[in-house]
Amino acid sequence: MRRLADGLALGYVVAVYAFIYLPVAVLVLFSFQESRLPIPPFDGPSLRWYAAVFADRRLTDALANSLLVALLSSALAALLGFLAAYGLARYRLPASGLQRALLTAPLSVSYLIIGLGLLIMFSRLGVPRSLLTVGIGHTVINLPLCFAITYSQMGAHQENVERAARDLGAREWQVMLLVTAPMLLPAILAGFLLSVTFSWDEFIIAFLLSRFDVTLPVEIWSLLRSGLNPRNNAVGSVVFLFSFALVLVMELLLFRRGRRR
Amino acid sequence: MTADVEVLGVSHRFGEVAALRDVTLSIGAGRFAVLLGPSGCGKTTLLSVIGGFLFPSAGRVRIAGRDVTGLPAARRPTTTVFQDYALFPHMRLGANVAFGLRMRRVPRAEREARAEAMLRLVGLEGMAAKMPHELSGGQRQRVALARALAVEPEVLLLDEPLGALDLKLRRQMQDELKAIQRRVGTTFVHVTHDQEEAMAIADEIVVMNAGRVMDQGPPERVYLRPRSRFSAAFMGEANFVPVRLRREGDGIAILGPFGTHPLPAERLADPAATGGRAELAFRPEHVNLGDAPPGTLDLGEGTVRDIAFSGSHRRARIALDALDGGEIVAYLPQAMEVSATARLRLHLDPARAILLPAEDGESRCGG
Ligand SMILES: Nc1ncnc2c1ncn2[C@@H]1O[C@H](COP(=O)(O)OP(=O)(O)OP(=O)(O)O)[C@@H](O)[C@H]1O
Ligand SMILES: [Mg+2]
Repeated sequence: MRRLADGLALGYVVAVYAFIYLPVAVLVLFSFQESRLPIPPFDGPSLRWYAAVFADRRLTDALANSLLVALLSSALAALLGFLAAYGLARYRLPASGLQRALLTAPLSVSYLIIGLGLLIMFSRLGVPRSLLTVGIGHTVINLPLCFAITYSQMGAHQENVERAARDLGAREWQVMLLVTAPMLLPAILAGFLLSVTFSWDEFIIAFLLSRFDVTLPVEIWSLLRSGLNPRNNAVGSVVFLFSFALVLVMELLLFRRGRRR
Repeated sequence: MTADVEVLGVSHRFGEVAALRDVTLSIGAGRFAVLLGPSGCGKTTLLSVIGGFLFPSAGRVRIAGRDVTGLPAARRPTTTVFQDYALFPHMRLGANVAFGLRMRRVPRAEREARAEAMLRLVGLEGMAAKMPHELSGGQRQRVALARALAVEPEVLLLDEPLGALDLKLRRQMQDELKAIQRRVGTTFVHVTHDQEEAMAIADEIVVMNAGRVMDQGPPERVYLRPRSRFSAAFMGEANFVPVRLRREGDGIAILGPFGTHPLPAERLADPAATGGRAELAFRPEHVNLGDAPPGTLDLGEGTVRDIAFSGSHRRARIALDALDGGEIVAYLPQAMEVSATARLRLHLDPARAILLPAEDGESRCGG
């Protein structure tokens, strides 16, 4: 009886992980295919499709665009999120509960709605679609996350440390720059890195708000219309590898550190 | 380097709660003052008012004769050692201690030298490169002290700095704190609810209760001649017996369960109460055994109800006949073996007796 239950449980676990990771594994595996079709049998490994990816100007441009948008919009989201959290945690502001709710609410709004809203607004204002508008869109979706993570780490102990800094003669900007921000660095960094991963493979907003210069997900989408091709697998693997590396960095930098404390 | 502190009629409310009620006190330059009182009586609030973290609803604060009531903490000649130390967790000890000097734009080489000197003062020589999380509680406490002293404040405020330490370390740190205070000469205002700690380190004790100052003076005076029932009871154990007073020539006489007994008038803490009701208070260690010699206050006979060995003495609860079985506490000699139910005869040296104005409906702090 016991045996059977254990066997079933094991089977279930294997099925779950297979369901989650098998598609990715297949995608990555066939990016190393030698022949022209990403279907069995596997006849690699070969790096020819990766060479093709990095030889394609459109793809490398899109990759650079994606990096630029992800890094800048995430940095802006982390900065604004920190400032909002500091203001709401340290000052008595009117309707602070409502303001907190308003700041985090976009987390629950679909990207499609946010993207459409921004699209309508930008066209009304006569702002042309570009990487800048994509970046603004990504800042909008990532700011709530950065705010929520930073705000949750601003406790009474931190407040006392800030008080000590003020007591020793620090001005308000010095308190923020020399004490609060470094103390909250793990939270700010977590917000930043999560934002980068979200921005990196975000499609809908990037699609709606870009025009000539596009980000990598949008470029991949247009590639996919031309059908199956190991080169697409290779681009997909690059996207995946980057996200995976980010998660790994986060794990090593933040969660390990938290555990040691 | 050192300055006197005056608090004049300070009151502070947190919404409904009156945390400070008309507090007036003055602390001389270079003194080691201890604010003592039960939890929630307003010690931290008073310290925050002196330090500039809280602006009182009423009253003034003067430091070195200068009115600082409206000044923020950064612009007062005070620094604070916080209860949770509040070290900068991301800075090395050297940078922690030098932070105040950095804010004052002291050149790097000079502030590093001074940080090292401060660390030496608190016994953490050569540890400037360590991080706060590598330290024990007692060491963090020392760093907080060094950091606050590095800017050479005129007044140092300490909020239960020893509260988180174990008893042995606490007693050791008390002595060190006192030695450091002597060395630097800065006025220290130290908060605690441990009366032993207060007596060990204070030049001056301020007893507080429910937002009020109940007594202020040197430890010996506050212990031996407390000015209120609250401070008598808070500064160690005491027995209280209600009596009546009558003027008699130069002095007064107390009338009560122990008969009539003359006392010098200055015995009474508050002379205005003469003629009315009063309370006779005495400490358990002042109760003597045996027949009362002439001139002493005869407590009569009593029955031992309970006795416990407590190291330096034996603590006994004794039901006195004169009080119709009302109990007092007496410390009996360590060597004396008494059984419960033993009958004892007791007396008191009148020089040790404390007279307090009777208090009715006494307000006590919720603990
Ligand atoms: N920020 C605040 N808001 C509301 N009430 C407060 C605040 N700070 C203190 N109080 C109240 O004021 C009173 C005095 O508090 P305070 O912190 O000064 O006490 P304390 O003597 O330092 O106590 P403890 O020994 O426990 O630290 C308490 O009744 C407390 O509940
Ligand atoms: Mg307190």
